[in-house]
Amino acid sequence: MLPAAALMGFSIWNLKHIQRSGQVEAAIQRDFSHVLKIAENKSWHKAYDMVMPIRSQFPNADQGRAEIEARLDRILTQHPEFSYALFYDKKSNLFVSRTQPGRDSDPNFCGRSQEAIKMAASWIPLEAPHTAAKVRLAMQKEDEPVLFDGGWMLTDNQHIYWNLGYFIPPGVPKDRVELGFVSLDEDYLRNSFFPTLMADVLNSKDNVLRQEANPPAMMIRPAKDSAPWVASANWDGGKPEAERNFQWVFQDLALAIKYHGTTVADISSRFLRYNSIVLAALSLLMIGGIWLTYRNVSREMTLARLKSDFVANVSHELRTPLALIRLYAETLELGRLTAQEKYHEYFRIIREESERLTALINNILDFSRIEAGRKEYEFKETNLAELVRTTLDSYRFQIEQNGFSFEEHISGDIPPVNVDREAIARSLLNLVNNALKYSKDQKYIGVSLYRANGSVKLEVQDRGIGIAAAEQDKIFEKFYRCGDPLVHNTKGSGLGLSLVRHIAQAHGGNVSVESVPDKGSKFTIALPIDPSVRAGAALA
Amino acid sequence: MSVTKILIVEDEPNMVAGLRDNFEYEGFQVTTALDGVDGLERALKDSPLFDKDETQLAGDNNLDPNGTFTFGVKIKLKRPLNL
Repeated sequence: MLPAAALMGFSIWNLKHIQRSGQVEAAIQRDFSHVLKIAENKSWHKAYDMVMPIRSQFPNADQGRAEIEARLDRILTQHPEFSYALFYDKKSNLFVSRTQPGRDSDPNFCGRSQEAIKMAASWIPLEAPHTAAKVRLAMQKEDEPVLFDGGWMLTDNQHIYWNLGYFIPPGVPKDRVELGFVSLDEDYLRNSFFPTLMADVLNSKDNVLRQEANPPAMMIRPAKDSAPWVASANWDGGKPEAERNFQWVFQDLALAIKYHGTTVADISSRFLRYNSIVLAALSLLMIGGIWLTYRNVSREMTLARLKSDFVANVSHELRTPLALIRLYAETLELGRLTAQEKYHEYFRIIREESERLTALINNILDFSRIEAGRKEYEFKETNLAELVRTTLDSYRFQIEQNGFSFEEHISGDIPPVNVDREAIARSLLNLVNNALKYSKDQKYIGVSLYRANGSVKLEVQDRGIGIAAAEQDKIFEKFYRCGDPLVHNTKGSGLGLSLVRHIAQAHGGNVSVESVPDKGSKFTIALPIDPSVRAGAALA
Repeated sequence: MSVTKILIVEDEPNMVAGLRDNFEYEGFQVTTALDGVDGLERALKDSPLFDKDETQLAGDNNLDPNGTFTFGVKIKLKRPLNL
């Protein structure tokens, strides 16, 4: 009991604790941040891998302007995903710019490319030494000869995203400041580069966020604006759960991620709810277990008490007839009787007490066989009317001698029934004996045998002390005896009715009682006529 | 010589009958009672030891709802007990 309560208390505390610190949410946030980091890494790798081959083809200042322009045009033609390429040489103050030749006829493209090139032309000559130094440093430290820069610019009331991958072209001596630049096309970024990237990240097998019902969705937005610039197919708006600003590539853009159709708060509250339900179910189970254990223990204790009462009762029940037989036999032996009828009375009493003892011992033996599961019945087709009549005949004298009026109704249409003769006779005797024992002033016993609803019913009725409604269920339990055990004034072992019930059930029937205290009781044994009912009962 | 009285309190009628036969054979005058209350009444009424007129129920006599009757008896002996 105590450990169970402790466990329950701990679980509740744990649940509260989770709720308070938002551990679930934090864990999901961590996973989101992790995925975003992977996304940025991938985009850097992807961009880097695109720029690297271009760097190896790039011209340097030794080749003269015309050759440089031709080379840049060739590069752009081969790589349509770039919008323009720039070359700058500090020494000769040579600035060469070429736009994607394939898109000369796209005015929008040309306009924004020219704007971007104009802006680049304004800062590159000033920043070139510093920029070249940065590239050289990166080459030394990381062996990564390409760096990126990017940002937003406003032209004609339009925000345009510009980006540059820059490097020192091959074959440039260390004391020269020469730089190459290429820019990924904005249309390419929005329509191909980022959508592919996001799909890759979201569908990756390592994606910790994968789940069927609410797959994660991503979008890329300007760092200073919350509206999506590019979004994955399943982006459904709403507040992102985690965000990350690009640092190494595509500066001034931010990645954002969330679950499609739900929020982390929802998930965590669902998790909590689920846990609460599990906890409640477990607690219920535990309480049920405790209750069952308690019930079993108290049942066992009641049974133990009943057993010890039983032993006391039975010893008394065995000793009384024995003492009587001995008393009467000794009196006879001592020749203390004078009248002839006294002899008869004495013999009769000795016989009756022997019978009582036999009946009691038979009950106990039957009972112990039943308890050990060794009780076997011999079912034979039997004339029940004849069986009941003979059984009662041998008992009639005793019943009437005790001052009882006795009625016997046996209807004429009783079919032969498959029963164990001895068991049925014993049940009848047990019921009649009970009627004898539990009658006070109204001394009446009625026995009827009749056919009803596919069964034969054997009824024993008295006008005795009756049984309280609360006790009517229990009287068929073994060892159970009515009333206060301290004031038993009738004899009994507490076995009779439990045997009657067992016998009736073994025959596929049952025994029931109707009783009103101080008015009398009626016990009815119902035995099925159809033997298959019994077979069913035996199987069950 | 006066007849010695004996009171048999026993709830088994056959036992009472058998004992009565034997005690009567031995020369006792036998009275019988089938339960304790009856037995106590007869003992108080017939006992040679108690002064019937001075014997009374005393103290808190009470019948509780379970049917248990608790009572005290104040008796006066006809002669001191020789214990």
